[in-house]
Amino acid sequence: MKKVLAILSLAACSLGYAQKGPLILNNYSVYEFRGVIFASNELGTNCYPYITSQGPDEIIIPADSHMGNGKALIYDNYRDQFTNSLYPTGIWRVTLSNTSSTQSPWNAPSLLPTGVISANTRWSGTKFGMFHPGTNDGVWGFGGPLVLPNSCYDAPSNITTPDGNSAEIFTITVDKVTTTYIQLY
Amino acid sequence: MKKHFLLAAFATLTLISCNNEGNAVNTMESMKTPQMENFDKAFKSLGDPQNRPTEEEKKRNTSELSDRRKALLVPASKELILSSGVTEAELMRKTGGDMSQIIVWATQIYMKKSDEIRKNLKSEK
Repeated sequence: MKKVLAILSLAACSLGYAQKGPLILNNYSVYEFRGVIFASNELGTNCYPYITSQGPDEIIIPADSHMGNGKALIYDNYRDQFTNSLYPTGIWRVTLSNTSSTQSPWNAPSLLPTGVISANTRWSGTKFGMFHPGTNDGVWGFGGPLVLPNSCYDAPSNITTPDGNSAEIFTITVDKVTTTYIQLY
Repeated sequence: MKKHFLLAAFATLTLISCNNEGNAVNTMESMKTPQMENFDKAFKSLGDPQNRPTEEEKKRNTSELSDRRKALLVPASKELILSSGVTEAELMRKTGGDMSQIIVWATQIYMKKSDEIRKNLKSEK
């Protein structure tokens, strides 16, 4: 019942963020990306609902994987990425409030592209680390949260490491379609 | 000494032959048009030191890529759109010169072309 209320209130007060557009992650660096991707509703209280990739634990994107060689991570939405993407997420964690957090498979009805959750969230960030390929040696300073500017998380939208690597997240918007880019250089 | 020389010669030959092998095989990279390559380079160039967000851009507190940085993507995007058979006049009519529209349109063309290349590569095998 609580959940229903939460969803209803969401539907009522949403001003229409919409996950209407893809997420494209380009890893131009020589390091391996390991991390999670998330989406949220920055107009809602504490950004709920909040959707995080959770299966696999970490999305692993090899070094030098980007649009240019057809190896970018591209997620159209929570569902279709599972069949269309090179790096499918099978399980999403859906957090509706501080008391309601559940795991949902990629094809859960609640995550349909036309559903309330999709309509009220947008791709908003990643939490990641970069590693020397195939090892557990992290690259110092090349990681952390990377989040689109918003009121809920105090995290940067771009970072530069002492060694000259950098990472950023940004959007390019046309009308109601927003393409979100996460780029690692 | 002689042994070393022979070994070196052999290694060189091996390297050359491997190189040639690479040339004979078509890859995603080798089948891209110059316009596609330039489009890739433009996106990658956003990470070049002079193209990274400035202090002022960082303070904007908005998600959208700044106009200065969008402008870095526009020439290659236009080139790619025109290479697909669209005329300059049509490009202007459809986008009104809006940078985001030009970039997004070019991205769609890019994705379509990549898919075609991927399909061709598959059918060759």
